Amino acid sequence: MTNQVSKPAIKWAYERASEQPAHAMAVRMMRWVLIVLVLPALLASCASSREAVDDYGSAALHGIGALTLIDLPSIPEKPVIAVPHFTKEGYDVSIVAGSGGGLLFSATYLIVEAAPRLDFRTGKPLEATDNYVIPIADSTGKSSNMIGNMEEGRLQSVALFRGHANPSSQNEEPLLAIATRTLDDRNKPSPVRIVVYELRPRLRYWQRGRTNILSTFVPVAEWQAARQYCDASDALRRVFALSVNRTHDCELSK
Amino acid sequence: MSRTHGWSGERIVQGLVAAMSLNFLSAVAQDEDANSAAKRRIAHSSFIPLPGLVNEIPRFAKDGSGARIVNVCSADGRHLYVVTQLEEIGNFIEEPSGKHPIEQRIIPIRDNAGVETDTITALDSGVVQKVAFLRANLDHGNDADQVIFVTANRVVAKMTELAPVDFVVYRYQSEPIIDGELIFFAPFVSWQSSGNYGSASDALEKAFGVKIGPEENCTGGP
Repeated sequence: MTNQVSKPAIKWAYERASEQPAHAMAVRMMRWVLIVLVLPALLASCASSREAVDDYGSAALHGIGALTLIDLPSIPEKPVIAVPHFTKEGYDVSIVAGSGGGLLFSATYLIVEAAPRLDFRTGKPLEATDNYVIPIADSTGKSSNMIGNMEEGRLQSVALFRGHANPSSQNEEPLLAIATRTLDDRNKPSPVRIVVYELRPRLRYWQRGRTNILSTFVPVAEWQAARQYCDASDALRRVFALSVNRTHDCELSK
Repeated sequence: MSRTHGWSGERIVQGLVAAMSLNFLSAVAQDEDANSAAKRRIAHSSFIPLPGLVNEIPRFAKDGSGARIVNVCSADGRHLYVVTQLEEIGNFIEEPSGKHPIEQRIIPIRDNAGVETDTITALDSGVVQKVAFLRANLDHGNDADQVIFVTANRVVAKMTELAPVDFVVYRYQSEPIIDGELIFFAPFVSWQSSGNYGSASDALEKAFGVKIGPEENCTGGP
């Protein structure tokens, strides 16, 4: 049955093709190519523009919720801000701000935990406290003491929160978010990468015969914002649906 | 038997003499270290204590402006310092009010290769090291009342060993650029102590003729 139907159809198509000039055939082929290649791209573009709208509050999609923003120090009016009971163990932190890297717009922060000194023989806390800088680890295990440094060709914005790093957690936890924008052109929008860090509780370990303390911000979620931004802090503001101090005056992408 | 005893006595005496000689030599070497900083154009030093998290340091720069030194412990138990200074920026962006914005700039540390870091800490070679901020006269008084810092690192694997100490002195410098000046710390002079020391602080006190006090490990107990 199939053969009976298809054979005349093929014959008809062959005859039609041989009747038409070569350029008409090429036009017809191009039409099909356009339908096959360009249409999916257009559809993807539409989907992308929908995602761009969805950047607002999109942190929740990555398991980050119920955020309370903590003010960061302003430079130089108030270079140090104390945040009581910030860590999971209830210790206070001080956030110290400066601007470094020899470049403009590079707010730099140290997050310092006031924690008891430990008796190196027993590992038990003593009355005296020390100011321990809380390092920020990357996914490879490397850590740095300062955050917000402007890397070459990039611009960062920093926000400190209390919130939930996973949907099952009941209590608000200390969180840090860093948005990094690829800075190809200061006046053009570019992609922004968001990394959210959770404050790991203090671990005590022995090294070279003494007790060391390690409170560390470790990455718990990382994603790229759907739309492009002209300012990393604009991306933070949109993704976390919060007000974040701007670090760079730059025309927002239309 | 008595012969054996005689040998032992002789050995003990030899050992005592050797130990006394070493002590004597060490004492002579430590005497050589006394005020050895002065021989390197660093005179009239005074120690700048940093008891708090953020310490205000008056008369830091040559124009009389102050600075802040942040003193914290790193996760591996070493002291870590950040020096900031209020600085007018943006000479090329004139404010309508005529005022320039002011920033609290971190003063970086530039090594001899030109590489810069924002934090100051002693080397981590497994022993308690020391960084000390001092006020001193440099270059035979031509550069008076300058804030410097010294890193003192004991070249030793064990805490209990006596060992020589490496000093590196950094001075505050500025470099003119088109729209202002760059400020940074750069090495001024470095040397190794002649004597052996049980702590970097002892060596610093000897070389600079200042009272620094005992070293404190950030995580150490009493």
